[in-house]
Amino acid sequence: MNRIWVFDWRVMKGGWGLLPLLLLLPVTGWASGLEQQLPRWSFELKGGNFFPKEEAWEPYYGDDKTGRFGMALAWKVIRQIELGLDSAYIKDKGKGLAPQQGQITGDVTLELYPLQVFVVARGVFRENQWLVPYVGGGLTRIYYEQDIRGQEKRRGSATGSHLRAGIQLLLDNIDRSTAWGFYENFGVNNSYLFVEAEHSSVEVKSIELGGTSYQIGLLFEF
Amino acid sequence: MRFFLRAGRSVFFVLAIALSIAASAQAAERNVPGDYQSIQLAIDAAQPGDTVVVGVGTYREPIVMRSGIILKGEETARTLLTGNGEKPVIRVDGATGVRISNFTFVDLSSGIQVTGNAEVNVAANVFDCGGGDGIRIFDNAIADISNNTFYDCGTAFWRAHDGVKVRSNLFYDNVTAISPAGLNANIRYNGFLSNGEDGPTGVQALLEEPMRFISVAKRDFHLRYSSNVIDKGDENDTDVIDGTRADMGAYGGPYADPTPFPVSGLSVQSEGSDSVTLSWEGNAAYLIAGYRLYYGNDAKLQGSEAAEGPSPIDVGDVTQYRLTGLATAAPVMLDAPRPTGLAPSHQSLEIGWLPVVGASGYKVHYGMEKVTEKAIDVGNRTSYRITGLENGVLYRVAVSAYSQATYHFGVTAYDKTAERHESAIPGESRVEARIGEVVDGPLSGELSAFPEALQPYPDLPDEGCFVATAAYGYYDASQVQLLREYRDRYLMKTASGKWFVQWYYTHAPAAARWLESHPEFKPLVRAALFPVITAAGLVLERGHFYLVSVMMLCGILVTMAALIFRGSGRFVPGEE
Repeated sequence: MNRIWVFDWRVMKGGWGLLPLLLLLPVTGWASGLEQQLPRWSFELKGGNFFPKEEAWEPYYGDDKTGRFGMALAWKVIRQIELGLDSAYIKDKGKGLAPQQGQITGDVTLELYPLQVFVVARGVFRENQWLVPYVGGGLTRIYYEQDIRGQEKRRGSATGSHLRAGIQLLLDNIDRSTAWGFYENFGVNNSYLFVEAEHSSVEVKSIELGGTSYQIGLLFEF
Repeated sequence: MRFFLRAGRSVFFVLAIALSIAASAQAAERNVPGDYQSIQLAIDAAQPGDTVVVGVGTYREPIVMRSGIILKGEETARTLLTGNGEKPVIRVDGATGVRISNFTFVDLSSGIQVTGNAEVNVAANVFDCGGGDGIRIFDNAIADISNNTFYDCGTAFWRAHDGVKVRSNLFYDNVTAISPAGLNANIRYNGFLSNGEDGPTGVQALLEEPMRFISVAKRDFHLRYSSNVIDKGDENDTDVIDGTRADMGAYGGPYADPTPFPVSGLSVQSEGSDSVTLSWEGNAAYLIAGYRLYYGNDAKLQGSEAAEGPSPIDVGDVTQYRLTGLATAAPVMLDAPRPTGLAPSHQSLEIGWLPVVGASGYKVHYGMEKVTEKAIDVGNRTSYRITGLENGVLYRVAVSAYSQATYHFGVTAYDKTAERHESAIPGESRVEARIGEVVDGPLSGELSAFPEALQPYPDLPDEGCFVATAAYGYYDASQVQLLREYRDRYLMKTASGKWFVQWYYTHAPAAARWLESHPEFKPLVRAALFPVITAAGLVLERGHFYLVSVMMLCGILVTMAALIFRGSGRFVPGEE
């Protein structure tokens, strides 16, 4: 007599805490029969918000955050450890201070170009793992340009450090055939959607140019 | 039996006629963008026999024609269909009974592509291709391509077989006019000028005869009086505009758009308290007979007070006209504006105010002792930045409104036909002027502030031009300033320039520090920087072209000197 298997939701009671761990497990069945070379590089495109560490940002720029866009290229020393270069662009438009009259007025545009050298460790335990946590850090050099309308432009640079952490969701598991086509046509082994938090500290003459960024992006391993 | 067959045929014939009359009675006009958001939506909604009329404007969308639809531009010169990447702007794939007329196709990869067993008539269009292809007819498609003007196309017209008729078109300045070579049938009465290759020209062609368009740059392909292609189109066709034998090109033949090109270059000069003189560029199209002048106190241009008569005035074939007796508006009692703030910045102050009802403009007053020392007419706006002030000096600032009669003017061109076809009045055919007595309102309350240099947030240091500063000793050296100006005006406006500046800012501080610790090398660096500074100065003064010219001249001189030197080196020993 055939036995009809029925899922009993009660088995999940109290087990929700295990779900993230379950997601870390590989999807072994889907990958059977497909062979890929391990990726050597990763490339990411990302964007999000940058929250400057300087506290008085909002009165001058109307908000305590601004947009940040960037890309990074990293070489995999081993499957889990990468050395990379990250470049980004941050821009905000606001006002300046008329110091003797205490008025916030005029037009000031601030552009930041952070350039980072980083090491990152990715928690890849199996290929086809749904979720991959990662942490990293490294050096940050920020090039800045400040355009005060009617006055001079100020340019310079400063060096500091940063820490980053995030989690990646493997998109290949959602559509294996597309992912395989992506590998065959473009050599991309894995595609991830990721969210990342980054904290940087870069001081120039006691002014803090660093801050915290929250970004979302796409990561391609090839 | 035969009786019943005849009766049946008669009934069928009568029914067919009745159905066709009903269908023609239902033929509708569908307007874009009035009735539909896109041309394709209108075509998809249309029934066979309907006309889709596309209003003046620029449209960028891929269009697929359906059988029995007429697609027509409102005005040939001002209804623009633009290129759509690699795709053709219009595709006719197997559709029959299609007509496409009165458009200007611009910046094309491909204009119209006809495939399958389509039947299409393409008439009275301008193809200003921008290097792309105009019309391509594939497969067994049947087409009548008449009275189009092709300009600046890669291949203006291509056909797969010689059953396609090509009549009364003008081909000017294309790489290839008609392709492929060898298919010469059904090509009649076309004009060819300045094409890289004409291809098959058929019969009754005009080769290298002056076409004399009004202005290729303005996309006005109407013909001048002196054009040799007037009344030289297909002798079986008549110009719908003037009833004579068809001209060649987009503004001839039975489907030509009769609307003249809009008047441009309109300007107005106020004279005295109630007069103005208007000037405009003449429209040299051969059918133009004169101009009409419109005026009024608002954009409707329906004035009636001028001594020369109510709007519009037929001013004849002139390009300047004086209008007198314009009544100025009765003085309006104006309130004082309410200032919203006075913002200081470096050598300037910016004042803002709330608008005043009835004001036609505002004056900003300012001074150090009295607010009325200087006044600037700032026009109809609600904020103004006073520049050229001295930092640290207290200025008093106020604003007042004024009222003055404002007149709007427009000029149209009309042709010499009985219908007097008239051009539209778009923005370039309009102008406005304030004339007559100025009635000033009271001054607003005074605000005072002093200009001062702004401190940005965060207050970051400027590291300047590192190597030059180190070499010349101080940041404000004229050579350093010159390099900085070159950086801001040229380098920072290109991606490669920005990359170079970034690269420089990465490496230069270390080089500058080394130079500071080895001052004996400063003269050497200054000497090395000399040509760079000279080149930057030349570019800032005269532009890049001048620099390249000087460099080429220097190159030629050096080469000549080298040749002479080598020449003397070779021959002198021989002579001895």
